[in-house]
Amino acid sequence: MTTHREGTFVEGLWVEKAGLTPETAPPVPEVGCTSAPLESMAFFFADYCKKYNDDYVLCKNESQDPRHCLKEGRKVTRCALDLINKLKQNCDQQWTNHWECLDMNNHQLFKCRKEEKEFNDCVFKRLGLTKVIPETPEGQTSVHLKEKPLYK
Amino acid sequence: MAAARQRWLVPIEPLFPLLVIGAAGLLMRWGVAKYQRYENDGKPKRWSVDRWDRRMMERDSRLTGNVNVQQAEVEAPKAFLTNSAWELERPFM
Repeated sequence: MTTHREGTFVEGLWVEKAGLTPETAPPVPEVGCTSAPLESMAFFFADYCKKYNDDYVLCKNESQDPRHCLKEGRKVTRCALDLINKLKQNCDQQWTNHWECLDMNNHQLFKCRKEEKEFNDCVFKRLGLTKVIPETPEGQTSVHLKEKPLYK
Repeated sequence: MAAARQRWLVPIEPLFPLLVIGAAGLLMRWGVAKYQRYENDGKPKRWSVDRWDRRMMERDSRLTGNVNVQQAEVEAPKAFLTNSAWELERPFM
């Protein structure tokens, strides 16, 4: 990308007039969550939508063209919408607490372990999903499960 | 001439201006924190923002109109499908 400079005499933002038509792509509603809720449900999204995510990533590895992976992307979006619906119906209060805590703490996960534990317990009880940090070495507890993470 | 008499055994008089300087420093820190919270809708300022965070914050601003406002809706508003964060500049040169 070229270097970005701030615009002088700015008169608004660019709006795309010709978006995707239903012929090129069937309309799928976009996910309406901002960054903090997405960050707190990221590991459950990885668990719930594993096969669609893997499909999409493998498809993207083939080519960087945006038109190549539209179908797999739509599947991922639909799965994410399904998961957000389920979270809102079952664990809405704990999820809101966690992402509001993240919002106040620079989106750093290690500062909000208490709310995260409540949220993880609720999701495991109602939906059966666990948070797994991939690539933890054998024999080490994951960093979100350690009682004293600052000790060796 | 009589020798100057020291008032206390341990010289704590020089500490008073140091306390004043310390209080002024704490007041400055409190003032800066309050001003940053006022600028960011009552939240602390984001620090150590990398390219991922910058792109996510741009997406937030397109979804809700303000970088600091978060929402957890299921579906995005219809305007999100076609809007962008690119500024339109009037040609002036």
